[in-house]
Amino acid sequence: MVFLMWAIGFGNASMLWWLLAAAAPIALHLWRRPARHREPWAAMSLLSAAIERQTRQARLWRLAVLAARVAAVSLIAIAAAEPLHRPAVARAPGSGRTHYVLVIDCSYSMDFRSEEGRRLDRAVALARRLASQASPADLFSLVAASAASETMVTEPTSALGELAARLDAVGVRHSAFDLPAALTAVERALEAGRAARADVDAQQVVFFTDLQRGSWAAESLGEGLAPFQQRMSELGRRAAVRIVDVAGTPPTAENTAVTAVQFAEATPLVGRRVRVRGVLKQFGRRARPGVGVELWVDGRVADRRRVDLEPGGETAVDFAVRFDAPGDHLIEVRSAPDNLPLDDQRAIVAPVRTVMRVLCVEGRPDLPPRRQGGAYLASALAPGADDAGGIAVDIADESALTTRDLDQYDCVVLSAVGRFSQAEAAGLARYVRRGGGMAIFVGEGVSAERYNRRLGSAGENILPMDLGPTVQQPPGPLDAFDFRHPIVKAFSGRGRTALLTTPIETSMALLPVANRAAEVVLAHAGGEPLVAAGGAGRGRVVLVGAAADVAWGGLPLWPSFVPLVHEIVLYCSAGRAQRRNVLVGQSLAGEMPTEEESLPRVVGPDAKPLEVRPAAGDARGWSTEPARWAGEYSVRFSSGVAPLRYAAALDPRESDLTRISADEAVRLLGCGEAAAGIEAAVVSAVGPDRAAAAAAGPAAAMVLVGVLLLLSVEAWLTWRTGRPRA
Amino acid sequence: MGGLHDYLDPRLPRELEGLKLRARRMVEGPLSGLHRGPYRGFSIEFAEHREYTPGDDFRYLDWKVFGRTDKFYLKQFEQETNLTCYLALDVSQSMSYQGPQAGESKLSYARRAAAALAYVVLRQGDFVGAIAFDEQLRGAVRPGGAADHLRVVCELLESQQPIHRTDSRRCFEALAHRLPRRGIVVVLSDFFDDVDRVVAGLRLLRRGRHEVIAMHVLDSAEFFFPFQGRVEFRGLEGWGPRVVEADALREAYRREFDAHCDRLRRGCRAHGIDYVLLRTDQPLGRVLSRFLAGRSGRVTAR
Repeated sequence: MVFLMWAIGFGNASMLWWLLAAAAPIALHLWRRPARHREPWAAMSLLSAAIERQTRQARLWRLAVLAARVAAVSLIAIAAAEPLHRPAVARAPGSGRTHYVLVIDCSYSMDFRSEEGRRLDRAVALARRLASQASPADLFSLVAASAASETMVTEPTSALGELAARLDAVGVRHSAFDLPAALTAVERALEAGRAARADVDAQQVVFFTDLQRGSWAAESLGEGLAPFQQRMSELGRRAAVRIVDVAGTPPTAENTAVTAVQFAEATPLVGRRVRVRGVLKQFGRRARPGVGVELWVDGRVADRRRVDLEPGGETAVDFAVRFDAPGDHLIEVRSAPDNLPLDDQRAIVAPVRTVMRVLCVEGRPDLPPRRQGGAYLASALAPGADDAGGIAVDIADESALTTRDLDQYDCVVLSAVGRFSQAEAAGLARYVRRGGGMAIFVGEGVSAERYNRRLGSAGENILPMDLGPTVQQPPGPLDAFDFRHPIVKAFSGRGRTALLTTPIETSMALLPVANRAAEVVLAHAGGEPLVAAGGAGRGRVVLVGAAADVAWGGLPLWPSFVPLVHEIVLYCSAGRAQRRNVLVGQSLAGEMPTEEESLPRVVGPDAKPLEVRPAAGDARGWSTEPARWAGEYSVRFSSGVAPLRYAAALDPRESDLTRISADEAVRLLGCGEAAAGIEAAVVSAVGPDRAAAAAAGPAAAMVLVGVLLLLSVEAWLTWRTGRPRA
Repeated sequence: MGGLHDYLDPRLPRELEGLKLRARRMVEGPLSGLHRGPYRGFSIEFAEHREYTPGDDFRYLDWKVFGRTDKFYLKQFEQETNLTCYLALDVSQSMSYQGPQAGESKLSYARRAAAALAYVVLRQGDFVGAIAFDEQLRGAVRPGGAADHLRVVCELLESQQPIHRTDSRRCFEALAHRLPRRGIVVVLSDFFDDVDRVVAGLRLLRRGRHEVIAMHVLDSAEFFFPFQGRVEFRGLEGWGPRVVEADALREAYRREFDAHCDRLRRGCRAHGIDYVLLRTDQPLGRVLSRFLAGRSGRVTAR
């Protein structure tokens, strides 16, 4: 017995609204146009008889013309809706149905445009074509795969119209393709397919992807490769896996991307000249001379440059900008557009301050005030009595760690603070993790054990290194490791600077901690670390193994002390500004102002609000779901506090359009097969019989042929009914 | 009120010079004249012989026949009389139509035609009368042959305004009863009435032994329907407005128009009525002279 089946769906069902346009000919037909002129007439009996005669004869013709016009307009709307038809194909009884899981790569490299069209459009068209050529009984699930894969068709469906509507809704995401995330969504979809219909006897997973090396290479999975391949192996036993390369030709595409935008200064201040650096990278094999690069500040062009880009190389473009008002400013660097426009611009938010606030906590109240480390630090940071230098320093004793709101300071500098209570340590850790900066100068009375227990590896673990015993240092030059670290970079190129001859007689040892990332900024002649830097949460901590007072040497009296302290404070305080800038896929986070009671409302570049939740372990902290789109985000508080601006930028991994072959992808997955070309993909997915049956031509083409025929008939009818006669 | 010269173009007498309106059949007139009368008598034109009966006037015995047959026969002659021409002018509202390219209305043209015919008849020494009609007889001028009778006829033609509908049969029936003696009845009308009723009316006139000439007065727009686009036609005799696509309707209208004229023409021919088509864009003098000349030829040949 043979079942003949026929089903029609629409690839772009929204275009069916244009069917309403078919009412236009009817409206025109019914519309009684005013007469051009009036004429008295004697032979009315003859005229009336003629009208009757003409009405009888012509009414049918006019109705025929009207019907032809309505049908033509309707067919045009139907053709625009991309009708999908499933040709009748003999199907053996009891052969069951196939459940297809269509995985569309939505990473932003799929936005690449070539002569063959946009990659995503090709993927969607191919998926639609595959669906149109499958059996009417087959089921479909749809997964939009990116960093956070999304199941677009939750319940497997056999309705082509619904599938087509979902395919239309698939858009390019601003993130990279994440194989494990896609696999999770596929596993879920396969499970749903088996649960939905008992008569599903085959399942297929079809990836439509451009096979970017950055996402598909084994290196991108790192340590997760083995478990991923194990999961794929299990999946391969349950379902057939096919990979369709939609990138077309050529295999390697040229692309220019703005991969970074950063400030040279940690904290931009009003009225100060701030250097902005944009980094452009030319992916591909060809050089790009004379590429225009623009700096945009708050939506307006502030500066322009032209640069020559070398293939595979990064080129830094420096701009200078001066802010006249405090507040959050959006800084964008844009390069001349190319075939992948999404990564041709990158934005960051710069919270511009009138003044940078630093809290110096003095731990040696027994010393005369002018000889305390805090006094030396304050003099170094703010030599004048006012904050004309852009830095305002408050000096306080240890009690300030609990009595003051640390969040109002960009940086907290501890000078010979000997011990911490549990609450003080917790407050400091919370401050740092929120993005605050902390610099620690040791000194007389500092207990290494207590530091390590409260703030170090045994406590809050925010110190880059643990403290060791106090040691006497033999005279000798310091080592700045070629001034690579940003803190000492300002000293580079000045020969044998005073920094390296700083007299440090006594210091505390800095001990590296396992699994704790730390950078040694400055070391003694013997290699023992003297200054170490590290991160904690969103903040930065610099640990100095020397004292800021003169008890352990002449550090505060040495010429290098002032610039060194400046650079340390600037480096530490950069974390607060940097937390306003995240990558797509990361969460936005911050703290509520003291007068605020409720969570803020966060709106992304797509004008949709993000889900905001309280931060774990921080009563005033908040964070959002991962940012989905690159661009500016607005954070508004109900108490009327000025809104904050955040920016999310693309992960530049997908900007490298180097691809792997489908065969390599199959090897990576450990199962499945690669389709050599799009036709082969369809044939292999739906079977040769159905592909051949569908090769008769797409339904839209047939509908358009019908439109042409109708228009010809309409023209003839119009000529027949309205031709002038002698 | 218009005068004689409004209707009689000074050039018209020259164009009609030497032409006469001759009766093709016998007519009755009060005076001797150009036309054959219905009565036998002793005049100029020989008609037939009849046998002598006592009391007959010997002056009309045909002695030549007596010499050959020895029987007395009297020669009889046709009485020749003058012509009475009745001009019946349609003054219904439809006659006021003047097409977009016409220089005058149908009524004006018909008035001029009637005046010209009256001039011709009077000039040849015959009598002419005039009647105006629409849905009924509106006014009449008794037949006369006096020198100023043409002015009287023209005043009647002028005095009637085109404000009523047409009822041809009713008017022709009334006219047939009203005309005292046989003559020529010239009907000037657009005949936009039911053709059967028009022909039936004309037939009543023929039954009264009148010689009838139907002059069909039309505007060229009624012929060719030259309108374009969407036009609202407003009927002149009580018809409601009709909005039509003129281009699309032209063929159907012309088919109706041709059928109407053809039926009228065939109806006239079937009852011995002369049918003359007058189009207002054609020179009146040329049309009338061709008609009169053709008619004279036919009468002479007879």
